[in-house]
Amino acid sequence: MERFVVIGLGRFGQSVAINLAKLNKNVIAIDKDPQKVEEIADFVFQAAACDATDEKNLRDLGLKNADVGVVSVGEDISSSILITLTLKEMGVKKIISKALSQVQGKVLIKVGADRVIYPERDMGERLAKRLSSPQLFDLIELTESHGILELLAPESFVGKRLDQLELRKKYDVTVIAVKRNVPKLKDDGSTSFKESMILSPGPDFEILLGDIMIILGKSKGLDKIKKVK
Amino acid sequence: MDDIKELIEEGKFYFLNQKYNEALQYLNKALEKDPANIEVLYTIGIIYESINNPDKALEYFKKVIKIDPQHEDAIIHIHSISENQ
Repeated sequence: MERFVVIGLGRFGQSVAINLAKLNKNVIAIDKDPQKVEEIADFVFQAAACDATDEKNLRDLGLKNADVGVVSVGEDISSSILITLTLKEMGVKKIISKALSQVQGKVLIKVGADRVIYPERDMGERLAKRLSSPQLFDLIELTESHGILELLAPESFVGKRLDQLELRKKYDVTVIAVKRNVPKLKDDGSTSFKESMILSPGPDFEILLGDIMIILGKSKGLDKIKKVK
Repeated sequence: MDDIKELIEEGKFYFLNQKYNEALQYLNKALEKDPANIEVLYTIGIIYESINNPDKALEYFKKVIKIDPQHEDAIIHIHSISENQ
């Protein structure tokens, strides 16, 4: 069975670890923040709170036999480089490291990453694709603390204008677009609808039943707004 | 039957004006009078699909093809909803 180690349990690392575990992979998840480790402990094979920049800690966890290492320690590039280097030296077969820029990516490759991923860039591409497709999506993470949420308008929003909803004040989020199916009659008299996208809706824009709101903001606010009924 | 036609027209009118709940009320009244009316079932399916309630939409489109297995539009909508789920 392939062994995966995920180091850095921000939203991205957490998501990678949980999804690998769902695919029945043997996952060891590591972060220096015990709370993050606790949050994920029930999902993965092993979760450990320790400083992954200390080689001894990684060796103690028996990571030298790991097949794949995912390094996603966020914006701390020096830690990212150090951990990538250590995993390489320990003989981890494949190392995938997260970078925020191409310069970072090149450095990570030089110290041993087999593959560099750019979640922000990839998410941007995904967003563009999603905005041009009728499918629904949930949350796109732009940074550790900000994201874009696509949300079916909660019942309590229906019939209200954006200025009445006070989303910026209450949740620190902004509606950047609304997807709406506009009803129409076909030539034969039967009903149909056409999907439309309203970009940057104004304060007097009224939310209708079935509207899909595309909301940009802080992750905390997005999490809150997801729970609105 | 005129009564049903009127209810359907009202339903379509409200749908076109994006008053979905009112549209569904009229169409459900029509359905009480004629539970196998394909036009009503199909229109309800369209309304649910347009308000992003694919499960309910599927329920009604499937009722349509149960009565008329050749109903092309209903088949297209079932296919498209299933693809997106």
